[in-house]
Amino acid sequence: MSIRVSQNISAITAQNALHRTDNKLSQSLERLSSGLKINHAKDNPAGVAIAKRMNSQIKGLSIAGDNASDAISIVETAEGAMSEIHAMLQRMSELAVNAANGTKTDEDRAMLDAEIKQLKEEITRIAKDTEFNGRPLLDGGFDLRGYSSDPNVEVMYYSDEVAVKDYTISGIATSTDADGNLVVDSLTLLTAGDNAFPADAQYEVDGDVVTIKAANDFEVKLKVKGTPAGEVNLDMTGIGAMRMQIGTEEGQVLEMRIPAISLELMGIENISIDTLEGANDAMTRIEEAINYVSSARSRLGAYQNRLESTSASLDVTHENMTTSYSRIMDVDMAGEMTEYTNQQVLSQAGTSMLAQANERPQQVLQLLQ
Amino acid sequence: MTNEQKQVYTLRISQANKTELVVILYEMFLDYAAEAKLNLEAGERVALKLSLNKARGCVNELMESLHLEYEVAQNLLQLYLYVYRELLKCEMHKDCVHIENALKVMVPLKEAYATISADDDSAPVMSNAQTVVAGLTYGRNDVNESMADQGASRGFYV
Repeated sequence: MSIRVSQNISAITAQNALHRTDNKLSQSLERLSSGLKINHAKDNPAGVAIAKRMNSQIKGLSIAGDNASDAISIVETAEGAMSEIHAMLQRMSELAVNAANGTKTDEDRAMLDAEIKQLKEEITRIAKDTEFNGRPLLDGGFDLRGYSSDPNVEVMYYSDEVAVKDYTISGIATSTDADGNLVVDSLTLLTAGDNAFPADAQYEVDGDVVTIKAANDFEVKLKVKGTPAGEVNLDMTGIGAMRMQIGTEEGQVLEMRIPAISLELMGIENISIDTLEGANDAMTRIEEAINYVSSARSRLGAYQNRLESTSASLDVTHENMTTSYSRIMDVDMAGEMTEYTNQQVLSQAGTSMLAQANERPQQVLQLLQ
Repeated sequence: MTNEQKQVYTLRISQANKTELVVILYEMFLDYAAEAKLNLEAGERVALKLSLNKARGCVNELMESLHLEYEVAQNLLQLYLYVYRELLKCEMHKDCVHIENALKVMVPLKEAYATISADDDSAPVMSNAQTVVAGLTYGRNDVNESMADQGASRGFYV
């Protein structure tokens, strides 16, 4: 790039212009590279591209008010993790059954126990690492919340059938066991009055975890970390599940509970199959854990069905649509479908452009961050 | 993704129409998947998670771009869900084969959309973006370079 100068003044003008251009160029680059349209106060937001950065959408999952397809992705993610955990629990069950066999020696059992330990770690890791859009899914953040008036008692879980109100436990008696761990001896539940538990409520104690059950699938699980001073009030808020707006009218929501997964919640934190006793105990606990995960998965499956039929009714006016999401499970099916779809796209260009079009550049820009 | 790649993408996004954005999403996916593969081979767990997250984000956005009243879109959705699950599996099992399965689906689709995007001559989606012209422009009177204020300020002030 050369500039021919015929007069001095032109030269100076040109040179100044060059400087300004250089500056502008580096400003543009600066803006472009950071993705921020406003790097300095002197920048001119109206003059540059209209792409607002939606910071709030990166933090937390504000799927507020839109697509059921996002919800489907969340359910798929949670389901994927749970099916892995399910497989691990089944493996643990095999190991426990093996260890419970009378022909095994304690040395054999110790070896089997090593694998159990590993599987436990894996389960914890998956539960921690599974996230969607940077937010953990399986830590109870998307499950119904319950609060206790005493910090010594923590609400771990409660079922859908627990009414949204306060419940009072008049007293909890605890003691310590041989290893120095806290053990709950007994509970006194309030059974009359406003904050009463159902009349037929029974409790079961497992170390420091108390499960209170009653008819109609009423279940509350509590962890006792210390001895509470007096009575304990539990506030079952009934909120905390992920709320998806799946229709255009108010109230057309789907509340999805994604239960927390942890060794503690599933009751298998302390299992160990290095002795015959331990193996027998572990078998029962692992079975309960499998039930826990299965029921969580079937809950997710129900959400999936609901979302799919909602999506279908929102987007499809097509009569010929039957089951839209028959799942492609293996790589061969995927290969065939890809081939077919490829041909479809190329031969029906016009329709394909209508079928898939993105008019959300700010979302696409988001994915670069 | 390097800063330079991000710059290039940002520029393209600002100029893209609705079909070009789809192609861009495919390409971003392919970049992130390649990155994930490298991270997996290098044993970089945290970086692997990030790149898989981004790749899944791209698939998610592609799913959001579908209009399901067309049969093509329904087929694409099935494929995207498959790719999404494969990426999840990769994260769980730390196995390259899942990324490869995902690529087998996305590469041909990207080619197809890249081909048809040439037929779409609608306007860019982002309005008020800078108009980018590649190449030298000539001054009014002669072929010499004339560098005047290119129009970054159009009279608007904050």
